[in-house]
Amino acid sequence: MPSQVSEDPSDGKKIDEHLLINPLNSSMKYKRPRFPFYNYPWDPDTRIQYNEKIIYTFNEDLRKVVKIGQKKRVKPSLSSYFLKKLAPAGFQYRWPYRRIWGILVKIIPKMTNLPNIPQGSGFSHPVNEIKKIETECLIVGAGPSGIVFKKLLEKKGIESIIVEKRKTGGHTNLLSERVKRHWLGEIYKEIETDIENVLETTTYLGEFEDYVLAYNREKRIQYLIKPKCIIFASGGITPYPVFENNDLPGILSAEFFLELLKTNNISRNTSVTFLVDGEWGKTVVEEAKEKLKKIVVISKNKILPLFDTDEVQVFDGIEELRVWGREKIRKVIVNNKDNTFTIDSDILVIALNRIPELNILAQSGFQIFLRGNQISLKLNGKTTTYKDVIGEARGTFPNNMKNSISEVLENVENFLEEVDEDRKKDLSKKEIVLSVNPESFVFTNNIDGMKIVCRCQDITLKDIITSYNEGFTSMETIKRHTALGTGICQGRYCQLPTIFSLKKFLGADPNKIGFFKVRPPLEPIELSSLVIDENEL
Amino acid sequence: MKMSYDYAIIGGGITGLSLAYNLSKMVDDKKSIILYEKGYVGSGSSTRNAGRYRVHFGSMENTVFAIKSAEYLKMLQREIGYNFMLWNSGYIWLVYSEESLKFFENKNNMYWKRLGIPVSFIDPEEIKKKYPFLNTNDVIAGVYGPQDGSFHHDAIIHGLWKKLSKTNVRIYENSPVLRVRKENGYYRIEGPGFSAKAENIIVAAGGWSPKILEQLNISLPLVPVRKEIMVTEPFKFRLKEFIIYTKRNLYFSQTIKGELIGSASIEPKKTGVVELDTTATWLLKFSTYLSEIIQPIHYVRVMRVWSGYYLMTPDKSHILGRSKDWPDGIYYIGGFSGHGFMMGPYAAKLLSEYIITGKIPEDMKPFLPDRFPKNKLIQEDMVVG
Repeated sequence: MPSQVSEDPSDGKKIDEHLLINPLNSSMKYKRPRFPFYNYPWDPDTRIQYNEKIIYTFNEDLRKVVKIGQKKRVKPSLSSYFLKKLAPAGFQYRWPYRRIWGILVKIIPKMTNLPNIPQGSGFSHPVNEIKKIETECLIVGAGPSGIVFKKLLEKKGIESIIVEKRKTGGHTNLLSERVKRHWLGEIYKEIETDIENVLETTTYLGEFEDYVLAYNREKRIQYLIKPKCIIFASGGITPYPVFENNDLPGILSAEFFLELLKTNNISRNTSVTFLVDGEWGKTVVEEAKEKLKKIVVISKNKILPLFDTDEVQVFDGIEELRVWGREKIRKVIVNNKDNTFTIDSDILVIALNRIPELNILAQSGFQIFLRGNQISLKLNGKTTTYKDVIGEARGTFPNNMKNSISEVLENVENFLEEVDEDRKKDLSKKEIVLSVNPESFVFTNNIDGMKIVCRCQDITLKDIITSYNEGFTSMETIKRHTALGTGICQGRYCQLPTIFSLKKFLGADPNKIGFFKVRPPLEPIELSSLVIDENEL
Repeated sequence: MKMSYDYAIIGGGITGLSLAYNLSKMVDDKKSIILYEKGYVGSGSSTRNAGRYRVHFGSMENTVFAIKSAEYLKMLQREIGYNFMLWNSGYIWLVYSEESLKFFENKNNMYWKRLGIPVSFIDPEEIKKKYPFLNTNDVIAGVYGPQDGSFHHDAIIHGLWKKLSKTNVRIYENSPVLRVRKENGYYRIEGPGFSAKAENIIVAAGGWSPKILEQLNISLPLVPVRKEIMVTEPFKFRLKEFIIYTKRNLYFSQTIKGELIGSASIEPKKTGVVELDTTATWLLKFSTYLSEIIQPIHYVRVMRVWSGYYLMTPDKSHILGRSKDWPDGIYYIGGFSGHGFMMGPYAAKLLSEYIITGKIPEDMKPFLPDRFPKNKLIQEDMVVG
């Protein structure tokens, strides 16, 4: 479809009507871009990732508006093909190949389309302020559960601070008032009034050995925190499912889609297909209904009752999902036992039920076990800090949130009052059980084709199955063999699809595969944000 | 499962695996070799390092050893038939004082020229032209070692592991050795779920070696020092050489994938077998120092920080072999003080020769444990990082 590309949106002029995406270098097929099309906001924004910039207007807080380049027909690059072969660890080649490699290694890496190390100006950099904080309770995330919990703590007279990487409200800010009210139910009233001690635009970077580190982007402050309790209200993320051509431009996560919708960057005429499996999907479609003419909903489950078929077209009970297009998605192809349906689509939104952000929890010492449909989180009792999980991150949202929150509140109270070190350790030893749907991750029945599992490193389903069969049977070893999880997302989106794919196709035991170690920083952070005055440490 | 082995190797990193490989080549089929690794193969320092090798050291002994080590890696690659991604990418030491420059010039004259590995001294202007994003303001000279280079550590570990899977060496992962003791002419090795006898034990457990040696009443002057290291997101590959910013004892370079990888020795140091955790203090200080030398740090994002051990000895050189006053059948390989991966394979080859023939190879002699009580320390003063 043609697009009217207009000038820099910061001019105040309306930007293009149709969401046009240009393909840039990524996997060897179709030269597709990587995951900036899927996630936001910390993902490598295109100002440095690509040679040509792309328009995705984010909300003003993020201030990332990049201009679209001219449509360019690009062929798959040979160099990216070879680099994919050369770069990951360990491959067996006979002598002639090794000789050729020795020659090619001098030229190939330079031919990649990764961004240049940017040229700045000068070598002195403004330092970031350091603030050391000691607190009774650190809450990560000022979404509904974080806000509710903080208010309860205040009532009990327990001192606390919240770090929130965006604004108070978290992901619910993406929803319009009407939809938000419906989604949150009775919690909606609770989060309306203000709370104190919220550090907004402050990203939780992780629990280091000496401090918890959190960075305020707006004010350029590094917080070095020593909390007695850490409560994770860190919410969830849209899972990254495995299906044919699942990294084509035009496949968006629900969060990203909502962001673009809210900032009026999706024209009414865009045809959007939503992949759903429950209530969250329904909410996202609800939000989109006002603004889009053509909506199609697809699902593995039988979700027909959730939708009004006068407004949206529903294909449920599907077994396989494929996406087709060049250079961006143009068709969504689904099939159940009997039929195949081809849906013309400009965008595919993955609006599957969100899964808890596991990286944050794993980094803080929670061990993760998988049992069928359940994720079990266990904190080993070595900690002197009380840690717990609430809200969407615990899988209790929004309906059953209040119960688990009051339980956690009681534990926090007991922990803070307890003087005996051993008793404190006992209180810390807990098991938290969450639900996850393995079906949310695999939407295909065969392993061939362009089915990306790790989209930072272009690792396909076939790659991980090959690796497993060669004897690399744990996530740590698969990571080292294929380079899966060593990219920007550091395993955030690829570990669960890997585990469930191996389970489905090879009958592998998820707990024997395990997870690889998550290390800080939990989000990639610019060196300029880490520059400090040593004397303040 | 056999319960009694001829050779038991404790540690499945680069030294343990190389040892298993060399022993399996040299012994006859009737002999049995077993290797115990507490995690997965390579989970210690072998998968935590920056993947570099150099031939330029501060002492004759180490320089000779390093040259042979580099040659051995090339040969090992061919033998194993696996691509180690060996590459002469080079090292550049950035020098900031006349004194420091003299230091390198002396080494060059005393050892490196003679051994055929001279360095060249480059003008900071040349460096600036090639790498405009580097700060060369106070640099007096760059010391360039073209014979130094890089490899992919995971590739080497995988290559050895695959080769060993075709031999009759038994490798047991997730098998930490908790207890070792002498028992009627054999050694009893025990851990969770296993107990075996071995005639000979080779301790190749890296930073975790002191605990094993303690049980055998062997004391070696080994101090594990925790080092932290970070990696950034990938960029277009521009920086081939390994840069050492001597002012801060900081090093960094670019991997083939394009990530900037770097580390520095920053106070406070953590010694002993401590948790391999990371500190906010290190990351903040390191980034501050790195910003002094790399210009465009506004867009360079750190992805991950991890840590590993340098196993240091008083003379910053490894320990190889055994001492006469040790119980029979115990051997040690380790204490590489920060250059273990590159020297490990060659050291393992020499040790294997010694174990089988009983003759100490010439290159191994300076590294025997006896040097400490005899006070014949190696004068090594070039540790990177």
